[in-house]
Amino acid sequence: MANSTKRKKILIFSGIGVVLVILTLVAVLKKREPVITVQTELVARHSLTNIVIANGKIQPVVQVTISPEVSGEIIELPVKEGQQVNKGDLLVKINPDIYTAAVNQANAGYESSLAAKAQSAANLIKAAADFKRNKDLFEGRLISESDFIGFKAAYEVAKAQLDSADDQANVAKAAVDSAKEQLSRTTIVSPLGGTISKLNSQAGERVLGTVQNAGTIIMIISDLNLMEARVDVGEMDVVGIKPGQTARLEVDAFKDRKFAGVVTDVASSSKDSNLTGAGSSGGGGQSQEATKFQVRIRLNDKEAFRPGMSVSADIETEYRTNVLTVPLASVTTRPPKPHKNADSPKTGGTNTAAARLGTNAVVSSSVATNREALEDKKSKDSSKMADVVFAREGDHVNAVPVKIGICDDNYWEITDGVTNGQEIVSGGYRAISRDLADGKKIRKGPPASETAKKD
Amino acid sequence: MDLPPPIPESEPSTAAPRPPATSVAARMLNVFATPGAVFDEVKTARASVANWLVPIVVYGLVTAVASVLILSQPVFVQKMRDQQEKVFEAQVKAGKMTREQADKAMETVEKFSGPIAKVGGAIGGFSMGFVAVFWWAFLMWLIGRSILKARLDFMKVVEVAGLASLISALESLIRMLLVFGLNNPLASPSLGLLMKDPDPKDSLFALLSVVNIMTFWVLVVRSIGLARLAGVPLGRTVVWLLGAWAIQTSLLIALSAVAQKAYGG
Repeated sequence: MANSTKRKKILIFSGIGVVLVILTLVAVLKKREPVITVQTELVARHSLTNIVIANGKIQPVVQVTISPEVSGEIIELPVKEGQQVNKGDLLVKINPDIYTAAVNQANAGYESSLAAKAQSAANLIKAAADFKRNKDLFEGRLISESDFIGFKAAYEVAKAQLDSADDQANVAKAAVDSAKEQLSRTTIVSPLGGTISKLNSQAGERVLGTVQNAGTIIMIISDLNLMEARVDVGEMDVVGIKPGQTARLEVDAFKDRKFAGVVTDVASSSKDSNLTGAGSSGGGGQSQEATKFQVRIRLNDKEAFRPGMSVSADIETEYRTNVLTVPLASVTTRPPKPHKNADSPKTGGTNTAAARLGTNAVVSSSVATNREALEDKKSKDSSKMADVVFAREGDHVNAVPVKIGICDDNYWEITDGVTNGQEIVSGGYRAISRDLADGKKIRKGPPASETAKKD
Repeated sequence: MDLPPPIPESEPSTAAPRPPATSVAARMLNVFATPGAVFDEVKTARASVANWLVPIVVYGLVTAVASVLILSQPVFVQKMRDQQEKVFEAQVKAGKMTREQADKAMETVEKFSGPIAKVGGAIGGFSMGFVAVFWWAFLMWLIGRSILKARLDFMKVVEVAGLASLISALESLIRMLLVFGLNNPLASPSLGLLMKDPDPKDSLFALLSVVNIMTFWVLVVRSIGLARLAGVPLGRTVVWLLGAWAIQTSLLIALSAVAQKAYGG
């Protein structure tokens, strides 16, 4: 009995021992490597268009502000907002009474000056005759020299008075012309054909007019046949925008349509840069808004656009035809691989350090100087992240440094690093941005979202 | 002819308890091979804390170490993260979570998947030993008192349950070795091994995992212990303990399914 119990114990413990040993061997010898589920795509050729997106408003290309040059009450306003007008049509009539009176007054002054001039001319004739007669008498020594001088002076005075009267007449004439000009300005006609896009004043209102300044803005006339989008572009994107580039525009009022346009003008200075003293003296560069530049895009299509409509523009700045591309999600950044031939000054790295500095500078005999420069460059290199994609090699990936060009909504242009048809990792996001590294094991599978949907 | 007096059922022994004939270590080893003899000794010997405390500590330690070792392997941490990501994706699809909330939750999971997870695994594993032993001791005592009509000393039942928990400790060890050997954090000595790529949410996998050889082994040992303490045939205790285990397992599976439906999309 004791023997059978002993045999039973030996059997059971041996069995447990064998199982544990086998399992332990398998566990120790088995390679454990995290396998990351990814999705892949092939590097392919596509044509890309780099697009800059900007928002703004639709405005007419030609827009004229009508304001008077003379002040007064509006007595006639035969137009209304939205009305089409032709060039020369009557727009506004201002009360001319005061200006008519001024013309009459000027005319009277002119007539008076003409009369004075005639009087002066008559005086001159008499003075000339007196001078001639007395000259003959003086030459015959029949009158004294002082008397002769008197008649001569009178003649000269008469001549001068006539000149003065003539000038006075001219001044009076100019006053008449000026008064007439002011009177003519009480009638305002349209300088162009267009639509009255805004009417600020009504008949009976008093308006202020000056020659030097704008005065009261009575109305705005716009040529609605020629419209443009004025959009704001950030400073990072504006460098790539040039007149002549095409754009696709989406107007909020016409949701399901896209319009074609052409860039006609790019502002030379930003929208805030004309504020002299407002920003600089007060805040001193503390503006919170991004710097924007205005770009004008002429709309090629005709539609019932109205000034002020909101618009979003996709400006095509660069094109690439049939270039190597990878999906946008494929490109990520990783620290660059350390240089294998990294040297230290101790191992005679003076020449190598100079080569790495990439200059033909004379290598200083001072090791400390080279070491400083080398360490400075190393720290700059390590802080820069390199653009990489992960190329599939069997069940592993290799981090391939790439040079990227332009991009559109879906693809990056790759100018160096990959070949056509190469299989690269295109998803999942976490795998590419964090988990994947050179040599990591992968397997192809659906994205987590698809798996979750299936579950 | 006078009939012999009826033998009272499950009467506690009136003999004075004797000191145990074997050491704790011997009892811990012998429970694997000759559990009946071990429990007979436990029944007649005086109460011994070592009979249940030492096995519980061993069980807790083995489970804790296994948890820490598994959570130290990047491959398993990765698989658990992938699984959690799928859960969050399902919630986003079902509209119970926004994308931002899911991303933030994933960040929290990754933050806690390092040392904090290992500490939690160790504490949880160790605590589970105590909880499991006392829970099964309670069940066994309840079955013994209410169904088998035996007057059982609760601490004696705890000693039996404690010694039986050594088989659960062996299961933890085997489970850990299977996880490492098969590179599968869900591996166990059950029919679930037949599935190549098991999904914890798969009901078939859940059912196959229930058919665990080590679970049945420990149930049989507990049944032997209860039968010896109560003085009843083994068959009765096996039936009742198996029934209790089946009800417990069904409840746990049902709770898990409800929780999945409520939170897992």
